Amino acid sequence: MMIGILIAFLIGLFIGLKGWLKWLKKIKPVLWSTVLLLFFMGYEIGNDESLISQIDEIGLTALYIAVFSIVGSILFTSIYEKFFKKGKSE
Amino acid sequence: MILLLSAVIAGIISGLYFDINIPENLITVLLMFLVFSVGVDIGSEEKILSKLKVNMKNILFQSILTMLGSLIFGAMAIFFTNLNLQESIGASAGFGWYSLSGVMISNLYSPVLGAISFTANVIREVLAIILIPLVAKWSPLGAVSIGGATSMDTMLGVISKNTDKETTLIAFGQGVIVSLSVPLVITLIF
Repeated sequence: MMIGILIAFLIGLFIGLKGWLKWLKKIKPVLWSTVLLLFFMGYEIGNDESLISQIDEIGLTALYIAVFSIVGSILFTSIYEKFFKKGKSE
Repeated sequence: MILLLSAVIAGIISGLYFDINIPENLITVLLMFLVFSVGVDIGSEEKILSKLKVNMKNILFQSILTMLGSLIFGAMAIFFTNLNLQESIGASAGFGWYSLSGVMISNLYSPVLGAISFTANVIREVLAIILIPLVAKWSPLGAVSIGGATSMDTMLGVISKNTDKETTLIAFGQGVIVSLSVPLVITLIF
C-alpha cells in the first residue's frame, strides 16, 4: 500500500508540474477524500466491540500517550524550526 | 475542522449501529486519490523541484525529531499510568498510524497494549485535526509533526490548508519516512 501511495503522489506531482488538471482544485478533492477517510476510521472504532467495551480503561491511558507524544513532537520540531532550519525560500 | 470531526463522530455512530463490510480496496483507492490530488497541488507550485532539493535536510531532521519527541515524551506516561517504560514507548511508536501499530503490538506483545496503542494513535489523529490549525500559526513544522505518519495521507489536507506549499512538501516527506519507520521501531522495542 505504501508503494501505491508513493506512486500516486509522484504521478500527481508530475501532472502538477506539467500544469495539467488545474480544474481539479475547484471540486476540493483533498477535503472530501479526507472526510471520507476519517468517516471510515470512525466506523472501524465504532464497529470494534472489544474496543468499545473496554474504552474507559484503555481510553485514559491512550490519552496520556497521545498527549505526551504530541507535546514531544511539537517541542522538538519547533525548536529545530526556530533555531536550525535553513532553506526558507523567499 | 468541524466537518472533519463530524466525519469521525458520524463514523463511530454508524459503526456502533450498522454492520457494513467496507472493502479494504475502497480505502486504498481513496488514500491514493487524496495523495494524488495533493501531488497535483504541490506540482503546480513554481520552482518546486529546487525547493525539494533545498528541503531534503529539513525533511530528514523533521522526521527524526518528530519520532524522538514522541518516544521520549511518550515515555513519561509511566508516571501517570500502569504502563512500564517498554509499554509506554511501544504504544507511542505508532506515530499516528493506528491500524498498523495496533495490529503489530497485539501480535508481538499483548492485545490490551495493542488496543491502547490503537486508541492513542486515533486520539493523536483527532487531536491533530484540532491542533494543526492552531499550532501552524506559530510553528508550521511543529504543526506538521503532530500528524506523524499521517502527514502524508489523512492529515496532509489539513496541513496544506493551514500552511504553505513548501511546508506541505516537508509534511509529505515526513509522512513517508515516519511511516516506513513504524514497523521497524515497533519491532525493535518488542
